[in-house]
Amino acid sequence: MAQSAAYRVARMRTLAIRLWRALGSIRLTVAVCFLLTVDLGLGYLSLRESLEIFAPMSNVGLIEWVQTYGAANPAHATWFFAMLALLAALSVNTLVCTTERVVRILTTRPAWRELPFRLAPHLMHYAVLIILAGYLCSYLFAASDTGHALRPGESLTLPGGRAELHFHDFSPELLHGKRIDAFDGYVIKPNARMSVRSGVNDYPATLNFNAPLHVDGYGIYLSDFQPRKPGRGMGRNYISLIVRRDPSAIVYQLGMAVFILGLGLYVFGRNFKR
Amino acid sequence: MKRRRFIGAAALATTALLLGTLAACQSGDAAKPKQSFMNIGEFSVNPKDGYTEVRDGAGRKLALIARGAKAPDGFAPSNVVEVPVRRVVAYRAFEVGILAALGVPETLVGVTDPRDKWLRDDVRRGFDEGRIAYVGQSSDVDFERIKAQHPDLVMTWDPSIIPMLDSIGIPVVVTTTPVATCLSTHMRFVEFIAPFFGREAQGKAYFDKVAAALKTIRERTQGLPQPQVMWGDIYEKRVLVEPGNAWVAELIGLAQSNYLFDDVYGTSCIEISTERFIHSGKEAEIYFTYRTPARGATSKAALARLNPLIAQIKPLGPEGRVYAPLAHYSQSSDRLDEILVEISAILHPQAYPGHQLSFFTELPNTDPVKIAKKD
Repeated sequence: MAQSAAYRVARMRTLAIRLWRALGSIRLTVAVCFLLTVDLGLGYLSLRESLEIFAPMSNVGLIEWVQTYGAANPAHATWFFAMLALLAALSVNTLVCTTERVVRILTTRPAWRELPFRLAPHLMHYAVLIILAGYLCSYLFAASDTGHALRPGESLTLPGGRAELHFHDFSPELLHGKRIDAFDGYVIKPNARMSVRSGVNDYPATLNFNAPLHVDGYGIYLSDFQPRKPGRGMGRNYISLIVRRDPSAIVYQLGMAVFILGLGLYVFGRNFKR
Repeated sequence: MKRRRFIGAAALATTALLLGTLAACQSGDAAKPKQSFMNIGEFSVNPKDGYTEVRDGAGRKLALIARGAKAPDGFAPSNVVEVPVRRVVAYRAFEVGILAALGVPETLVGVTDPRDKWLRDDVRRGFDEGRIAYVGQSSDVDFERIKAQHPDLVMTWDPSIIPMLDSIGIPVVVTTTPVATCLSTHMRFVEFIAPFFGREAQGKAYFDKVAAALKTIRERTQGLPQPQVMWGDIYEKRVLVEPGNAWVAELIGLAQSNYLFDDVYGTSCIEISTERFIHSGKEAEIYFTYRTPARGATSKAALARLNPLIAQIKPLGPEGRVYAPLAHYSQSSDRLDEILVEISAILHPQAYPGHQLSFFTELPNTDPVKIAKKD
């Protein structure tokens, strides 16, 4: 009886080791990468036909998107669900493979000064996993509110009422170049002049595309503005804002920092070792 | 061999596990796919308990509630619309046509074109009865005038008016999107507007009528030779065209024709370079201009006089064909099925023998000579 129990434990252990190795196998990596390539190819074709189905995802969040747009358009969304599954498989594979290598390095007891450099590539792998997890959390937990338009002189109070944004006017930077004649004189950088009141602090700020403001835990993004060319825009003068709260942003930012650290150790470590 | 099978099984197990996890995320009543959810391009209609949540062209969420019902939590007062809407201000002629298609033209109380610009009998009658008011041009509306009309809703393409109308307590729905609407969205837009007026059945009937017309177009044009088509215009220092993602471009493709700006993506009336316009124009056989005859599109020679550059495109030559929209074209969205058929008939006249143009006119080479009357 005791022998049988010991046998079962040994058998379970063998199975666990096999499963662990299979999950970290390079063959699985190749298979998943191949499937991912095929799936993304299909995704490219699907997006060409149905971009508008996916555009609301960043605003409504992944769960609500799956329940609404995804469920209502299964033919166009299947590749996306498959992509999630394949990315998860790739993540598990990377985690197992990297951990196995890290354990192997640690068990060889390298000199402590060499250790960071030997671990550098694996640090980058872990960083990619953190970044992926961060983006998943972001799509699961972030709240986004779109369509806040402000004309010069108007204000927007952020949810909770603790902070307020005031839009003054533009200080635009124009494109001057005859190479693209049709766009000569267009605004290349709107420089929307704002003032921010957050608690007792009151300070000026400038808002541009890809240069959001961070106020009281909210990201303020510029989504549109008029006029695109001084004197045009049919007399309209406004900015349109997206107010986004993303508590998981710190996760992928941390992942990026870890990646940069790993890359730095990998690139400069060789010189250091010499 | 064993190892391969094992790896395969592990991969399958992982996939099943993840799909299961995803399904688990949707567990519970709220997670069941809502069959009644409907997305119309970037617009959406999502019936919920006690109200309908709609998402407009600017991505804003609005709650449609029954008159006198309690507003749901999480919506600002100006984002709550009591339905059916009884009084509406519409910026675009397109929406005015949709109101007629839904059978509620009498709800219109404000427009952004004066009476003399309207060719629709229902709108002119509304002006004459004093029900409809001109609220100023769309780029510079008179908010006092809008307020005086006591609308339940303003349908606009201009998001910059939202803060002002919020402050006077009038809900706004943005009816355009940053990119041009595709053919499907253009046809189904009526189903986005219908819940505001409690006219879902009429919206569905209208869509079915247009879809039937499209099906007929496909059948009639199948296998026909494909003409090269362009749609746009050259203005002073600006060249605007319909991009490949616009509904007219998709219709041209469906009607067995080759749209020459199919690779251009973006908003309706998108700006491109003059060189590109001329380059594509040298291949084109059929050209649709934006200009109406009232705005100078009376003949090929007249277009060439307006901008000599356009004279270089092939359709302006003696062999080419140029079409201009008539004034009521943009006000006839309730007759979208007829418009689709007419565009198809222009592309393939051989498939529509005897078709009389009613929304477009083919431009002659030169303007008719005016004979001075003798005294």
